[in-house]
Amino acid sequence: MIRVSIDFKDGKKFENLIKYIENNLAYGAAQEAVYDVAHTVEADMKEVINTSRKNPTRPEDKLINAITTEDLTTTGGIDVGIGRIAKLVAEAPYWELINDGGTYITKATHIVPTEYFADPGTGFVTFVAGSSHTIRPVDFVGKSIRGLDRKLTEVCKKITAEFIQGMEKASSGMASGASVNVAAWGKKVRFGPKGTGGGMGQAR
Amino acid sequence: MAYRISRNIEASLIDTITANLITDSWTGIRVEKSFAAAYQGTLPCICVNVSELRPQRLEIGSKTNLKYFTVLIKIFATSDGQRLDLADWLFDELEDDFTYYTYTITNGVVSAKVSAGKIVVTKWFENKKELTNTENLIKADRYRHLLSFECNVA
Repeated sequence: MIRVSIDFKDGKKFENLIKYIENNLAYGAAQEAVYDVAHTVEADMKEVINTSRKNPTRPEDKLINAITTEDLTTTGGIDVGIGRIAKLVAEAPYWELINDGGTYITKATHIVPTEYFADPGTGFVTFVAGSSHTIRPVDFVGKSIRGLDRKLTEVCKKITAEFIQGMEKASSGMASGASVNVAAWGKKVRFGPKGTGGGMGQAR
Repeated sequence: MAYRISRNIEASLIDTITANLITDSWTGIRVEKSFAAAYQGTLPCICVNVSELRPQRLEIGSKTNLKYFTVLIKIFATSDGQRLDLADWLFDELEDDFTYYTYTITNGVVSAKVSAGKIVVTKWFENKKELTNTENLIKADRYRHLLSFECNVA
């Protein structure tokens, strides 16, 4: 437990500090930062897929297009979802196999690139119906979750540092209200999917 | 040839898990490094893999980096109960620091294995069932579990 005690002899400085805290207990900058992080993570997730692919990128790529960032709540807290699972299942049902890897039993004969498979070669190979093939995991969700974790840590550090700096300035009488307009201090900031049909890349 | 740090971590983890499985009376569980090798043998199997390296400056002005490694451990179980039991057991085992060894390989065989520190888990990322849509997959993929964490060598 952290205990903080404030002993102000100077009433004006104490008033400045309280004013600063009141003025900065807003979501503005924190919300903006979270949105930036969410969109960066979405782009990173797509980048991981694109750098692992064998086929050339196409505008109608179903997996890439099924990964979206959605604002779920913007009042009383911040909820941002990346990759709605229901959408992924509907539009790119193989997403989980690409992400986690696995051994797939081919339903029909088809020609596929060898890049994703455990015994990779170059070019393409014909898989006959009923044959099984091990697909190597791309882990685009895991990589994004870990990236999200690092980015959120950086954002929290920055916001906290700025907020504390502002408090110090305000309480020393250097500024009142200060210009650092960040906070979400002591309030709920939530980042991730909500309820069923939520997404991945969740962090809270 | 001496292994570098990533492979030392993988090999240390494999040795630690293998030894602790025996100590805790688990039988018939393979521990593999390669994802493909997990499919080439009997179940259950634990697959250990160092996935990413995150360097972080030790301090301002220093060129020394602290190295954080992301480790993925995949469990290929034979039932959902076994999947959960193995996941819980692994989580408990890895909560404590474990020995970091350096390995020297000669003619494809470990010729020297020296204790050189501790591997410390610094952060957990995932502890979940993998692959929910399994009807077109083989048995090995039906009860899979993923544990992922970050660690460093102390």
